[in-house]
Formats: sequence, C-alpha cells, structure tokens
Amino acid sequence: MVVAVSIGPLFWQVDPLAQHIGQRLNPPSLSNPLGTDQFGRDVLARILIGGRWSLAGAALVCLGTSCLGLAIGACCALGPRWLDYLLSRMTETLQAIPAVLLALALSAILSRSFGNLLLALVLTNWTWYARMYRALIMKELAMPYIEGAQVIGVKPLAILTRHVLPNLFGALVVVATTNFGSVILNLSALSFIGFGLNPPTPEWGNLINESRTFFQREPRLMIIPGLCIATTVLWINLLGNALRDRVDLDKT
Amino acid sequence: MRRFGAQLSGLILLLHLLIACGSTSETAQTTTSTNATTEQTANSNGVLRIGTGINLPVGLDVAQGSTGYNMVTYGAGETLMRFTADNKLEPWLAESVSPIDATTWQIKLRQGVRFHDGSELKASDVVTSFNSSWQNLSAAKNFIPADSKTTVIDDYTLNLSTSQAEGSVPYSLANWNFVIHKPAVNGVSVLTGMYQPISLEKDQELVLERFANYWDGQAGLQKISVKKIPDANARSLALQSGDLDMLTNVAPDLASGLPADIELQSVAGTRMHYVMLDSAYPPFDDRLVRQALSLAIDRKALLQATLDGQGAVATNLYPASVGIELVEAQIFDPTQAATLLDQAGWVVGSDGMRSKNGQALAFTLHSYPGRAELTLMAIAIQAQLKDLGIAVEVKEVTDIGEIVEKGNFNASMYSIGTSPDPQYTVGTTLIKGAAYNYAGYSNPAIESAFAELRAEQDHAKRIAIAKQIQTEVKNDPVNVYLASPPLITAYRKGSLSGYVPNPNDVYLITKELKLNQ
Amino acid sequence: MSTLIRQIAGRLLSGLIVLWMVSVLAFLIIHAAPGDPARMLLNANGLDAPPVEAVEAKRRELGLDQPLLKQYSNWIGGIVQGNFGNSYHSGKPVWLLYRERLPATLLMAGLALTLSLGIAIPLGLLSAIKRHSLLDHAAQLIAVIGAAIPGFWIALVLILVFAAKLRWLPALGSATFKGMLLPAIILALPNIALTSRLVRATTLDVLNQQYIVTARAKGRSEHGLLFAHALPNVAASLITPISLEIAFLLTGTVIIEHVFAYPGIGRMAVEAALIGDMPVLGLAVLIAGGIYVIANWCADLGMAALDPRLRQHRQS
Repeated sequence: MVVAVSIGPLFWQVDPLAQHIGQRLNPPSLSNPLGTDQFGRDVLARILIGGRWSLAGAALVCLGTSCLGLAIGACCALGPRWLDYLLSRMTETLQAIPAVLLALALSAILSRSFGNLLLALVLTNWTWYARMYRALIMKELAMPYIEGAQVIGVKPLAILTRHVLPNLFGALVVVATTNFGSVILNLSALSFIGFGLNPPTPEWGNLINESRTFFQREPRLMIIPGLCIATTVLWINLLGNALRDRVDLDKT
Repeated sequence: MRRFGAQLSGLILLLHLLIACGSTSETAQTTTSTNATTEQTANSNGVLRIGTGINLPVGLDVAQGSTGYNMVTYGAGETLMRFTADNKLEPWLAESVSPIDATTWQIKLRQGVRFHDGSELKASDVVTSFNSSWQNLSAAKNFIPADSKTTVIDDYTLNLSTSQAEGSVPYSLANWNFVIHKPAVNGVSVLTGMYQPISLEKDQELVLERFANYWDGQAGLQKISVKKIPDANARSLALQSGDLDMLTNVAPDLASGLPADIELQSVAGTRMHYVMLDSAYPPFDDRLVRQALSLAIDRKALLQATLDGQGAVATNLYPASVGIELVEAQIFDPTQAATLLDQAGWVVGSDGMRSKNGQALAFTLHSYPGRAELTLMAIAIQAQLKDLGIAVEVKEVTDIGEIVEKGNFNASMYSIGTSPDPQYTVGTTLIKGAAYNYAGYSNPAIESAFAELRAEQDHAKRIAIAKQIQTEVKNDPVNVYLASPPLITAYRKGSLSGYVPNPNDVYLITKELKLNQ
Repeated sequence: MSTLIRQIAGRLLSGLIVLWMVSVLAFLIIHAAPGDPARMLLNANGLDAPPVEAVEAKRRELGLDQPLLKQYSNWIGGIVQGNFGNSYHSGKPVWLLYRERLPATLLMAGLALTLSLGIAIPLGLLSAIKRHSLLDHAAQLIAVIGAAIPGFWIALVLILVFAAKLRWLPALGSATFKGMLLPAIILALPNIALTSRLVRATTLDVLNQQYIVTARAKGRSEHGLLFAHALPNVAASLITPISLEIAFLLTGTVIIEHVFAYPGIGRMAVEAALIGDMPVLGLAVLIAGGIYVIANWCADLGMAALDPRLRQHRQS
C-alpha cells in the first residue's frame, strides 16, 4: 500500500481534481478503474493521492511525537529534579485526558488546516513517548559505562547524544512503527469528522466523509477508502510486531 | 504494582458511577420504551413523526431567537399575511391590509380567531404582539421600523403608521418575526395556529397537538412529533424503516438514493446561494473582473454536481421561485468572461493562468459547513475558474460571520433566505450599511432606485423598479448569484395526503395534511 | 509513620497540581477558541446571520467583553460553587447536559464491555488450550484485523448492511437494546481482539508455571487444572487491562456515537467541537482529569493503608 501510494500516481497519471460533471458517479470502467465521484473525478487517482496525505501525515505525527517525547523524556532524565517533577505532572495532566477528546478540542480551537490537525495529534500523543523515553534513558544512564563517562567529566548532553541515543535507536524505530498504525486511524477519524484538509484535496478519512451522502446509492465510494486504511494499518501493525520480536524492547 | 492499584480503584470508581447512574438510566429507558409504544399505537390515530436536521427551537417563547420560525413551520403560529405556494401574498389572520395614505396602513382582522388559551384575537392583541416583536427580536426592526405607531380603531381594526413611507409593510407582516402572540406565560407563548405545542425536549423532540378551537376548522392530524436527528443518513434510514413518517430538507443526492417506495416532493426554494465579492479590494475593485466572474460560472453544471440537478439556477438577485419578473443577467458565457478579463488587463500566461503586471489572478473563496452544498459548490467553482485561468483556493471555516463582518475576505460563499417582496433582497444586500453588504458596496443608481421602491405601495410599480435595479446589477455586479437549492420533503408512498410543497419552508404544515390509515 | 504522611501529602499535592493544570487547560480550551461564541450561539439555528447589535448584547450577557484573567477567576469561582457555565449552543448549564447524556453512554459502554469480555475470555481460553488449532489461528487473524479497522468506517458498513439492506436494526442509535447493539458491537470489536490475545498469552504463561506442571505430574485432570489453578490467576492479571479497556471504551464512544447519532456524551462532544461550543468540551476535559486524579489518590491511600511491605520498601 505504501508502495502503491508513493509510486502509484506516477503510473496512474489522472488528475485527481479534474472534474467531469457529465461523468458523474460513473461505475468502475476501463478509464476509471474505481469509478468516479460526484464531481466526475477519478476515484483511483483520489485514493492514491489521498493515501499520500494520510501516510505522510501520520509519518509526520510519529516523527513529531518521537522528537517531542524524546526531548521531554531526556529533560526529565537529565535535568534537575524540579524540572522532572514539573514535566512529569504535565505529562500526567495530558494523560489524564483521553487523547481523542483533547485532539477534538484542539482541532476546534486551531483553524481548520492539515498542519493544525497534525499539530493537535502530536500535542496529544507525545506523553506516552515521553514516559517511555524517560524510563529508557534512566535505565541506560544507570549502566556502568555511563557512570564511567560521568566520572571522567563528560557533559550530560554529550552523554546523551554520544552514548545513550545510539543505543536507543532500535527502540525508537520500534516504538514509532507500532504507534504508526494507530496514528493513521486517529488521523483519518478526525479528518472524517471534518477536521483537516481543505477541500478539494483528498485524504482517506475525508474521502469517507464525502461519500456519506451516497451511502446507499454508491457504497463503493465509502468502502474503498476504508479498505485502504484497514489494509495499510494491518500491514504496518504486522511489521511493528515483527520488528518488536527482532529488537528486544524491554517492557517498561 | 502502584499503577495496577490506581487502575483497580479507577475501575471501582467507574463501577460506582455505573451503579449510581443505573437508577436514572433505568427510568430513562422505561420512559423511552413507553414513548415508543404510545407512539406506535397512537400512530394509527394520526401522529405525524417528522425528522429534521434543522435545530429545534430553544424554547416555546416566540419572542426568543428563531422560535417563531419553528412555530410557523409546524403549524402553531400564524402571521397577519402569508405567501401561497405560488408566492402570492394573501391575508391570513388579517382580512385585509391596505394603505390609507403614504405612511399609514389599515389592518382589518379576521373575526373569530381564537388563541390557544381560548380568548379571541383583538386589535389590541396585535399591538401587544408587535411591541413584543420589536422589543425582543432584533430582526423585526429590519422589516418594519420599531418607531412605527399603532392605533387601535376598533376590536378588529388598527392602523400602522411608519415614520417614512414603507411600501413593504404587507409583505413584512408575513414574516415570522411578526408571528401573532400573547407574551409568554411560563416560557410558552400563546399562539393561534391549528396545532398547539405541548412539549419540547431541547435538541431532541418537539411535540404539538391539534388545537380544537382553531378558527379555520379541524386540522388533519392529532399530533405532530418533530425529532431532531443531526445525521442525514440516519434520518433517511429511519424514514425507510418506518420510525419516521416525513423528512424535511432532504439533501438531493441522498434523496435520489432512496428506494422507490419513498415519495419525494421537490420545489425550488426561496433561498439564494451566491458568491459575495469584496468590491473594495483588488482584484474585485475592478467592475470588469466582477462582471467576468458573474459570467464565468456554469450554474447548470454546478447544480448537477452539488444538488443532483435539482433546484433552480439564478440569473439575478431574485430566485426564480419568488415570482418577481427577472432580468436575466448572469448567464454562463465563458468567451465573454475571457474577453472582459483581457480588457481588464489580466492576460493568460504560458501556464494557462492569468496575471497582470506579474500579479497572478488568484483569490481565496471562503465557505462554511452550515449548508453542505455550499462548500461543494465552491469546489466546483474552483475547477471551473481554473479553466478560465483564475486560481482559487477554497477555505471552509466554522464561523463565517467572523470572516465577513471583519471584511477579511476576497470572496465568500453565502446564502440568504429571500422574500417575494422585491425590496427585501435589495435592502439587505446591496444598499450601503445593509445587514449582508459586508463589502461596503455602494452604487448611487441602486441607492436612488431603492429609495423609490421603499416608498412605493403599488405592487406593479414596485416590480418595475425592481427590474431597473436588476439591470444595474447586470452592469455592476457585487454578488455572483448561483442557485436556489430545492426544498425536498420525503415520505413513504401513500402514507400522507394533503401535503402542498411551498417554496417558503415556513409553510410545511397545512390544515389538510393527514396520515392515511 | 511521618514519612508515610509526608508521602501521602506529596501525592495529594501532585494530584492537586495535575488538577490545577487540567483546569487551566479546560479554561484555555473554552476561551482560546476562535470565532465569536456570541454570534455562533445566535447563528446556531442555521438561519441568516444575526444583527450586529444582538451579537454585542450576547457578548455582554456571556461576559466575553471582560479581560481574560477576570474571566478565568469568574470561571474558577463558578466551578467552586458548582457552576460549570452554560452551553453556548443551548444556554443550559453544562453539567445538566452531562447528567442527561451520561447514562446513555454508560449503558452502551457497559454493553460493549459485557460483549467484549463475554466473547474475548472464552475465545482466549480456547485458543490457549487448543494452541495452534484452526480456532487459534482464526482468532489470531481476527485479532490482527480487528485492530486495523477504522471504527467509524466499519460502523457505516454495518449500518449499510444491517439497517439499510436487511433492516434488522435501527440506524439511529438510542438507549434501547436494539438501538445500542450495533454501536456496542463496534466498540467491542478492537477490545475483543486485544483481550482475547491477552487471555491467551496469560493462560499459556500460567499453564507453563512450575506449580501447574507439578500438579499435572501429580495427575490432576486438565480441566481441573484449568479451573482450580489457571483461571484465578488469569482473572487477576486481567483486571489491569480491563480497567484500561473501560477508559478506552469511554473515549471510543466519541466517534461511534457521532456516526450513529447516539444520544450520549460522545456525540455531544463532537457536535460541540464542530460548532465551537467550548464549555461543553471544557467540562469533558475537567471530568476526565478529575476521575484520573481521584482514582490515583484512592490508589495511593489504599496501597499505603493496606500494604505494610510497600511502606518498608518506600522508606528504604
């Protein structure tokens, strides 16, 4: 699926935004393998481009949460105790509130745009990462070789970048991958409700939302993007499981 | 271990909550189930269950918000005048409204009209009702100025004098802001309609009952239950399964997906969807560009794409359905549009897009989710204008008022309810300082014609002035008129009789409407 | 003992800090939203734009013309007195809205929980006992797929099949068994997937433990083993995930209720977000935060009171 959306548009060079009102709601045919939508736009092209937005968006969210989580985890682990206390309470505060609810509130506050939707997801998802990285870094810091480094006067930041991070890299990738699938689901859910990209740009979640009026008349418009989301998340989850088996990630 | 404990106690807490709420929810459930059974048995006795996506009133006091609109819609409230299905003005609670001199109208009341409390409607009640409207409903002043004087002549006659000539008074008396009511007792206004509101569950259900002493005889239904169901699909499925009897404002694309046993009644409404241009700033400060835009849009294709081809295209400021003679001005003509743009100096570049002095011809088109087809129309317009070399960015915002009131827009989708009164649309959109003239547009020719229109009492003469204004709109457009969406009502075939589609959505319920056994 | 008191005080304090942060967050959510609540309130009826003077009057009525700090102190003062503000949309007190809607949500979440446990536990046990059987593989497949399907989408598909095509169930969610069956199934789906896998893993774990192996060597029957030894342990290890599941269910209702137009707090939250009715969202945040903090306090106190070893451990 990832391959399909990344190179698919190169092979299927149909403009996903080109409207042909005369060919409105056409069933699948040779020229439109998945049919057309209410503006006569090619559904296959829209699915492919929409997938790019969904996947790139989810990847950005994972990247953002990883960085933010890592930074805050590191501050907690390396910084003074009061900072650890304060940041831990902040983490706890955000964890106390269900992520969907918070993302919903944030998307209502920020104006409607894809960037803001991603921002809302990053702001609500980083806590889990922060806790995990705090624990991982602390565990790593307790290793004898780090103590050795501290004794010979290596600065904390240098310890982090030179010694701790390289060792955490495997864990980082696994954590992000296992989280990727659920980010795709959250992203598409919020976009389905109506937060996210401005029309007419397609994204899997808003493709399902757009299809709701044709729910009984043209169910394919709703079913296809959903299947795309489900298969993508399925494969990513399987990949995540396989990676986790490889890199022995200590449950913390 | 500590975390586990936290979760355990969390669980216990939640269980307590569950148990604590168990008692309330049980009662809630029994009430719903009894409701369901009474409804099912009562249904054969004539309860019409309507599903709507439009908000129910916030209360039963018509002096609050848009409660009056709902009360007229569901047959509980009445005005002195009303519009027929072919948009003719006719007396309703009044017997006649006629001018005595340039500023005074004499209103003769129908005799024998009863309020829901049993008392008879007298001229003094009308005075109280008007005062309540002026005092509480800010929109009422836009129809008839609040400094107007009312004089009771006898029990069934009163005079209404305005400070300056107002030719639109008879039309304004048909507006729901002037629904005839006695001030609310315990939050419930006393009205005169064929149905009487008996209960309102906020955001859920409004129930009305037949009013036995209705002045025009017995209405056809025993009860009406109006349920708000925000999701359009859920509404249409509930109609198909028999949980509802009637749907209002069905989306056209949804309607055409309904099975064959559903009857659809579609009529082009009096609402106007249009694109509002900010005539104060480039590129729309140039009349030629505005004119080009008004010719650049294929409205038929727009209807096809967004309203399944239903509704009516617009060619000038009045919707075709309001029955005002039209000067067809804004008709799709891409060649002429291109010529006008060339004339204005916006020429096509190598990339197919237009620019002038290095500046691209581009603008943001705002839209809002209030009516689903508005954003869809914006998307279609975006594609159409691209063919002409104009780059449009569509932006949907929740609070369109904030954008337009502050003037933070190039162009915005907008939609207003219009009236068969030719003065209304001009007075609210094209006149300096008008409520929906957000761009601050001003045209001396329209201003003077409007002043004339306002003072004129004769209908034929008013229509003639309206034509003059329409010609001016053709030459100097500020709004690009698009289409009137259809009003679609759906019910199961053969289940209802006496339904009369009316382009004014406030006249949903008629006296003859009844359920077939 | 004094260390214990200090510890409890410490936990109380950090709970209070979290609670305060939650309140600031809730206030910001209510007051940082764009758009003019006054106008949105007046325009909520979907009719034409309200006149400017009406908007001004509404602003004064809602206290929106005052400085932000004053608004915060007004708001906190109100909450202390049990006044959580009024909905911009309906004008009703927000807590009243929650009281009306909460039972429906809890009923549905309860049904979903019953369904998910009722299916997941037997399924997990069976897959553990008959490891690598067809059933085990099928259950695993379902679990993997169940975790990958977007809930809002499968909801639409099931409505299409069961409500529109077969007409077995109503498309409209309502607080009746039939009305909440479909949403509850969809809510339960990902949980069934997760829980059944967990039950399987835990059961296998327990069955491989030394005492079971010993008992088996002593000649106890497999069924006897399962019920006498394995099950209690499995049950104990499930309490944590189940309590997590409840939290998950309550958040999962947000989008499912929206799709089914189910009259619970989830739909209320989505509608509030869409029209910018922030007091409603603010209270949702407050409630969630409050429950979390109180649950933590209870846990700490309970632990401290019940477990002397913990005291020892903490002192050391």
